[in-house]
Amino acid sequence: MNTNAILEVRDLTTTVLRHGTERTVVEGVTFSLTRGRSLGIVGESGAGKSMLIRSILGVHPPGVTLRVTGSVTLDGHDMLALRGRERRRALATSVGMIHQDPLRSLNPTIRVGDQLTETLAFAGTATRRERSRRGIELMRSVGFRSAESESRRYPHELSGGQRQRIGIGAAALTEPALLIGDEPTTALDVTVQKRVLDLLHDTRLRTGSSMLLVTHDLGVAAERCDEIIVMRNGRIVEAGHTSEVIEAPQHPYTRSLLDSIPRLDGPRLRRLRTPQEGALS
Amino acid sequence: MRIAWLPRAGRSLLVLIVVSALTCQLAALLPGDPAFVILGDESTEAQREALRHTLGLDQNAFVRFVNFMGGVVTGDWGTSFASGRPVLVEILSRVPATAELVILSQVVALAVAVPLALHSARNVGGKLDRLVSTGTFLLLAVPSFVVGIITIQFFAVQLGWLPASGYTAFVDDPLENISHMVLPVLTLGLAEGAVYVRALRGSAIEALRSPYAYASIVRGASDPQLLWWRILRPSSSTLLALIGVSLGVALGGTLLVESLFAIPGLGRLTVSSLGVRDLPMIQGVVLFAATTVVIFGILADIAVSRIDPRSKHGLV
Repeated sequence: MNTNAILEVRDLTTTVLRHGTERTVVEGVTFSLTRGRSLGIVGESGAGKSMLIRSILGVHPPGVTLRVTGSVTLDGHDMLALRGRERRRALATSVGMIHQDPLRSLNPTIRVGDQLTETLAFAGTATRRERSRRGIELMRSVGFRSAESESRRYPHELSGGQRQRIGIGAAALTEPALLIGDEPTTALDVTVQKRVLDLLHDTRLRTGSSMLLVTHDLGVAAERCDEIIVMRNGRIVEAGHTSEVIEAPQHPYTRSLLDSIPRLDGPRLRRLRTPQEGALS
Repeated sequence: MRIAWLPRAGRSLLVLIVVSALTCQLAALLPGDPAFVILGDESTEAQREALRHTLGLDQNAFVRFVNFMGGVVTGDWGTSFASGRPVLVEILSRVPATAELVILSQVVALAVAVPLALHSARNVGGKLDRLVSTGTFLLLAVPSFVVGIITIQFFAVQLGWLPASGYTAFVDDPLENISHMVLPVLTLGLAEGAVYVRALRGSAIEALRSPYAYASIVRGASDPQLLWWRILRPSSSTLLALIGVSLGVALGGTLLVESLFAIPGLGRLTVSSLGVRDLPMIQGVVLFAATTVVIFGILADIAVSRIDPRSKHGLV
């Protein structure tokens, strides 16, 4: 047992129970994340990455019942045993999460400044005035120049990159022990991706948080994470330090993921043929 | 957004004019001769002819329409055949009873529907959800007058707690007024509430599936905080539109419930006017009902644009 672990997951198995059928989506997953370090969880869609995160946090998808076995210790909390108020408090104080789709993960009817600080509103630990001050401060820290007026905007009035900066600000609010990025850059333009990842990195340095970065992009994980686990069909197929995984992948699936990253020095691939004009009409 | 109100207002006006034009055709469409109904079968043809002339029934529909519209604009909605009093005065005297019934029943409908819809959406397929689904289906399947008859039988006849029918104005005797209102308000409120539950539950389920609901849960929202602070608002557009329609339609008169409970509102006025072929009165109540529908449609649009900032940009 890693005594300096911020997150310790042991033999985690998650089964989706639906209409009397059972489907195992996460199977026997064990890993630990040392305090202050970052871990990338890589795999194609359907590999069980999102279900793994949901199982760790204990947030079931609506209308679905999950049976989760094993153990999850997050910042000292036994997450599978916590219920009600204790579990909500553990989530609010120990976890900051950045979601995949920056538009859809912001509530369209709530001003962004209020969403940024909603953790405090739910916990009831700060007055409206304090929350508003804290929100403006945080918006400045994630690069909004006129934070005071921008905090009163609605999500649809911001650009994709701005929205994701709101998401990062919200995740950093309580300076949580663990930041979780669930495909935080997938929905963004390539140019915005890098800036968002840099901001995430800066934020992590500022708050001293550990990071769990879920991505289907092995390249992103290699660049930003100390360690990597590769998932397929709900199981871990490869785990190790980033350099080991990238330089000496053990599993054929990891090698195929590596091969799918386009490289400047790689063999030149043939361009797909364009249909002849008129052939489509 | 400001500009868009002009065509909206124009369309509303057009609707009211078309409704007026159609009701002016009623004289030709309704079976039976109003003069015959008013004077009885012992009248002579000459007497009936004279009456038709004073009532303007011998003119063609277009002339009657022009006269009617002219009157509407100047506040003269005509004179009731049946009572001999001005139509507008008769209508306005019936508004308080209908308005009280409708507003109270909307309050009951929403007070019941919103919590049930939100909490059953949070636990789809759970005990509460299944109970609520069955209950609303039952209420929707059974006509409101059947529900009314059952409540009368139970609360008024068997238990004797409440009067079965009748009406006392609030200013005359507040307690008596309330006791007369309980059963009709329940009857109407439950029927409306069943529709609201289904509409809001559907939108709330959709909102709860969204990433922003997931985000709020991870940020430590309790179920009530999640539902009331974060899910209700983005889910309520459909509900608001429905409330607008129900209010508009019901304020024009709730025919069944007013008849069943003998409440002297616009619905009863409509039914009795139809019975005696009181054409000016029929035209008046129809135009009044159309006006309430149009006005509450606009109010609902305004409410939606206030509650959902996206709608101002046509994003919803």
